[in-house]
Amino acid sequence: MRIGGNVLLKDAAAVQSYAYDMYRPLGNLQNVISHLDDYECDEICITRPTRNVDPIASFDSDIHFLKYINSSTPISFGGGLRSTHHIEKLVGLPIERLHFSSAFIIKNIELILYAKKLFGGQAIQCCLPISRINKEFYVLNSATNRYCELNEIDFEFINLYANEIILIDTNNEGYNHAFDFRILDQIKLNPRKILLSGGMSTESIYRAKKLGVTGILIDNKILHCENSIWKIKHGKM
Amino acid sequence: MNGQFANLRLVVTHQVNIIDVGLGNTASMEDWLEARNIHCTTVQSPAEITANTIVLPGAGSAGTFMRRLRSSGFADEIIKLVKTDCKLIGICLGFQVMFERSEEDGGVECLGLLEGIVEKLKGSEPHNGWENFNLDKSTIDFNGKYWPANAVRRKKITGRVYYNHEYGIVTSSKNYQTIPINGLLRNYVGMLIYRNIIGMQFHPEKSQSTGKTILEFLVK
Repeated sequence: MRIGGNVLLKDAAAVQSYAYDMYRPLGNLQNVISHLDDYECDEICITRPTRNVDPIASFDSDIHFLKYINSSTPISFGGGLRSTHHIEKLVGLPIERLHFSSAFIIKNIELILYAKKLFGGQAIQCCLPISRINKEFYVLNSATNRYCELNEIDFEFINLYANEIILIDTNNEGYNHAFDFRILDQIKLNPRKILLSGGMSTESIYRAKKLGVTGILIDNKILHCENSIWKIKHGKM
Repeated sequence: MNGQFANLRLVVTHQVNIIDVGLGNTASMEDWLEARNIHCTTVQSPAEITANTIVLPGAGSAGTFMRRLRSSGFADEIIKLVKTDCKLIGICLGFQVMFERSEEDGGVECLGLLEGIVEKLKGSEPHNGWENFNLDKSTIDFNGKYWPANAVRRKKITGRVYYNHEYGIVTSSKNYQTIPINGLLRNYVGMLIYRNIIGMQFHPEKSQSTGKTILEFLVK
């Protein structure tokens, strides 16, 4: 099972977030990436936490920083990838994979196939931010900032076009031992195509491994000394 | 004094050209090479090729990649340069297109530098993740000569490498030195060395310390 790190990129700087809401500055993105390289993280997932309107100037600014990132660890990038124009700007950047969220929710097949042509089918990931509201699970469409019921999501389409699917427990993002595994009961997908994120720590990692998921992405705590990925990977916890 | 040093000139011993057709992670490749003090330039036309070592990184689909190689003139130039003993290093899709044919995109004729085909991976979902890597440097035959194992350096490269692909290479030729992908995918080629042609299905530029060691061994 792969163990990766989830890093948020907001206004050209790395941030931490809690429950998909509060943001706290983390500093220079390259510093964060360099630490994850040193920890021998299996992969790094860089996400722009976009909600609704995402000005192209903001995207360009973030891409500008991404262009100069130096890392020998595989990187997946996403957040605000909503047109072919966005995809074209990513060609040649030091990233291997792309993750799409609203594009899969609204079934933007043209965009997904365009990305597949430029980056390969193996590079396409689907990212589903999931929230539990009044005992029911919903998927957040970041482009409209609206929650969708699970039965509105075409999981067959996602399974067909996404190489892997990232499930984010937004309620517990940034917290300890908190990932809600009931999400997997609601979303019937091949565990070998699933990565989990949001409230991941040691106990949840062991449980994820037993369930046979392909990987986990540790969110906020990844750089904290007391919960570092290095310790998790090398069995020091 | 001036006469003594008048004819001195700086000679760069390791030069690499990275082929850029608008697909592939050229940025990471440059970082990967520069980190080992290997001078490299990215080239966008065959006329710009000056080095004795060419790196062909690839990403995307085989059909799109081969179309761009042909339309840019790189396809013919690569075939010509390989015959002149220029070292060619293909990575991921760049490695796959060295073979005769790929099943991707309904069937694509590739460069035909090596015998074999590229097919959709059987027995596994798309292959994403890390595999163990073991290479005994003393057994590698470059261009008919054995690579001398340096007595003060480790003779073996061991570690892990990163794979991310949906298609794999199958070859039955006995002329190639190959290392298979581990586990269920042992019938597919992970790495190949044949005279001046080197190919890696994994991404050495994203394989952390093992990747850096492999690079140093192959390029220097």
